[in-house]
Amino acid sequence: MPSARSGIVALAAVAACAVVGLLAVALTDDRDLAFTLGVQASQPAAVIGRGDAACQFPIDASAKARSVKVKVGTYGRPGPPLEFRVSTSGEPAAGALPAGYRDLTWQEVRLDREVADERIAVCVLNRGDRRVALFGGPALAARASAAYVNRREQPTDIAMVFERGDSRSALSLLPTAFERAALWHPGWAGEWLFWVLLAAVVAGIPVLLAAALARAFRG
Amino acid sequence: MGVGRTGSLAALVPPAAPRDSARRARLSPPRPLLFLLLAVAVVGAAWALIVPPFQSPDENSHFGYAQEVAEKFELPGDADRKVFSTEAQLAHDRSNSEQAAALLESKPEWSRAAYQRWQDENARLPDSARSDGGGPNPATTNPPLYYLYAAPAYVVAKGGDLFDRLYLMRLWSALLLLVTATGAWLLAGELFNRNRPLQLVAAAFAGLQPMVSFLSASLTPDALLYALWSLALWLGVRILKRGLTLAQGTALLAIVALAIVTKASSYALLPASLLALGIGLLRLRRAGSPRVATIAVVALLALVVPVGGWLVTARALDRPAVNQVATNTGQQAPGLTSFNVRELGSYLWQFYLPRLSFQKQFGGMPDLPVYNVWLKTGWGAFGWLEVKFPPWVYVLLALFTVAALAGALAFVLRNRAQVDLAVVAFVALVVLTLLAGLHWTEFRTLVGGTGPFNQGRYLLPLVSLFGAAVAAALALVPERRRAPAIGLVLGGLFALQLFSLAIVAGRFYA
Repeated sequence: MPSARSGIVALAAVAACAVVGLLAVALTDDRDLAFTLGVQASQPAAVIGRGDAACQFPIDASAKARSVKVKVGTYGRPGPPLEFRVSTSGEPAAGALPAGYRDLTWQEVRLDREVADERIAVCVLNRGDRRVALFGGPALAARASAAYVNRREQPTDIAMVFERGDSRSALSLLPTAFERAALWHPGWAGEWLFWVLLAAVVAGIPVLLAAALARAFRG
Repeated sequence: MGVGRTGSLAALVPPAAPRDSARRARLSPPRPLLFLLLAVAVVGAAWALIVPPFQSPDENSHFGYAQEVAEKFELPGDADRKVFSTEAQLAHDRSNSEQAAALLESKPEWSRAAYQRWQDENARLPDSARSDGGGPNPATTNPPLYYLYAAPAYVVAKGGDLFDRLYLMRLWSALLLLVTATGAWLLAGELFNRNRPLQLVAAAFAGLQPMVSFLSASLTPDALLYALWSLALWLGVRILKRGLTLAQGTALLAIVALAIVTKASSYALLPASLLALGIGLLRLRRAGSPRVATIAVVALLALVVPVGGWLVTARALDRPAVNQVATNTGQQAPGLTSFNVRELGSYLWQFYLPRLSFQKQFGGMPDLPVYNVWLKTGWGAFGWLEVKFPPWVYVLLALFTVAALAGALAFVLRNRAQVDLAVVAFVALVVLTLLAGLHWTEFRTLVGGTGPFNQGRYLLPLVSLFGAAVAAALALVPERRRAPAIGLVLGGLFALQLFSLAIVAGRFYA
């Protein structure tokens, strides 16, 4: 019976490459997302004409955000200027989208201050002469939140994506990811558990497979 | 592992060993398998805990079924009742699980404040909020065995909230992955004369194939299905290789029966299992055994009693005993006596080969489903199948799959003098019956106007066979190079697991 040593070396080499490869991917995979309403921009959700306001609230802000993205429909013409207001329990934030953007495009609006409050409302005011459609989905798309046009509730939700001011690598987001993972889990499954699982998977499995391989050839 | 005197572990016992230590050795699992099962357990726990709630196919429906069984010992499907209990619906809404299902743009709720509000709302729910579901959902046509398996875990965690119960059921389900891997180990033991390295490869493949581990660690009957098929395939081959005994014949048909009352696709095991039993009985009769009739009757009873019990129960409760093919209003699904042979041929051609210009296009059927359905969603399509590897990974997996199957075929041809044709017939019949059932069902849904039906995971009950195919391919490698080849395969499985868990975590939490 041949020795398992060369098998263990091959296993260790592949496992090491996998871990290094994953680290490299996680280091170079930049992520901007702060949080999202999770609504698919599949239909016009709020159409606003001159002076109209479309709002979406309440929105749970689970992380600090510096910009908000919406998908806009301009009916084939250059888009009108839009003003964004984000209400928080403290000082509100604001941003503006200059006129001239293209139809059916995602537009990112930088806010004048970081939003970090837990519950916010976002309103979009049309400061131009032409109507614009904010895209989103049916009302069920975000169960706890609703869209309003001039204070009237709509049967829709506006798709809004909130981004951080800076991109962060997926690797640096690991503690945040584990914090998120621990929600909607049993009480005993805290963030610590995901660190333990990470260690068990990355280190434990190759060691156990190597032990199995060694024993298989010994037998 | 209950393995008797003639079991595969008996070979480990040194002839001169004292009786006690020999007995211990027989009863304890082989060390390579033990280490592998520890690794599989880690993988199972990781999948069970990392995947967000209700983010595997139909898990919300499976939870609804399990809750109905555990809370009231009733089967769901009453059209007058709510689809999900008030408690489950609240959890779906607040965790954003329904919105996040299959939609990459959508994430589970990340806000701790939202979670705390759910806790407050949940605490105010009356006890009846757990038992007011039970309406029809996509899982209600399933037979009940898996949900009966899951119910004790639900009951143990009954003092906790919904997520305590869901995750304990997932972890309990993940234990079935160990059975699947063990079944593959035993099957490979029969096929390769207990060659431990080859057994290790087959079992590692079954336990560490990413889609199998993802689904086994979810709340889904597929977990039990894979485990039972793995055992049934082992027992069928064992009977054909070693001869039929009362215990093995009964065990085989009992396991087939359990598989049938887990998921109706397990009827595909029936022809091959009856073939194995029939060949076993014929060989016994030729050998002049007086027990032929006894074995036949007891084994068939082990099949008929559970399956018949389920069929009678389903009839009494006025519910379908097998899943029904839905059709669009006004469109007739073809039946066994009323289908167009050319249309069926065209469908099968288009499933496995590029569509020709003059062929009818079936609505919703993707290009080359053998690659885009069988291969891609069989190897890795997580969440509600929306979390996938980059395309080039599937190209590599396709090359590996073809190499393994070609290698297995070459192994059989090279060893044809020693190959038992009955074993080949048994294995071929299992594979062909499953494929025939899946294709016939999809043909009916396509012609009936409800679109494609098949998913790669429907082939995964055969995972222990594919593990054996990988092992057979490695058996062709010259012995001095076999250890590194096995090391590469094991390392590859680890790498796949690592990246699978990473893309799932990235999709849901970053």
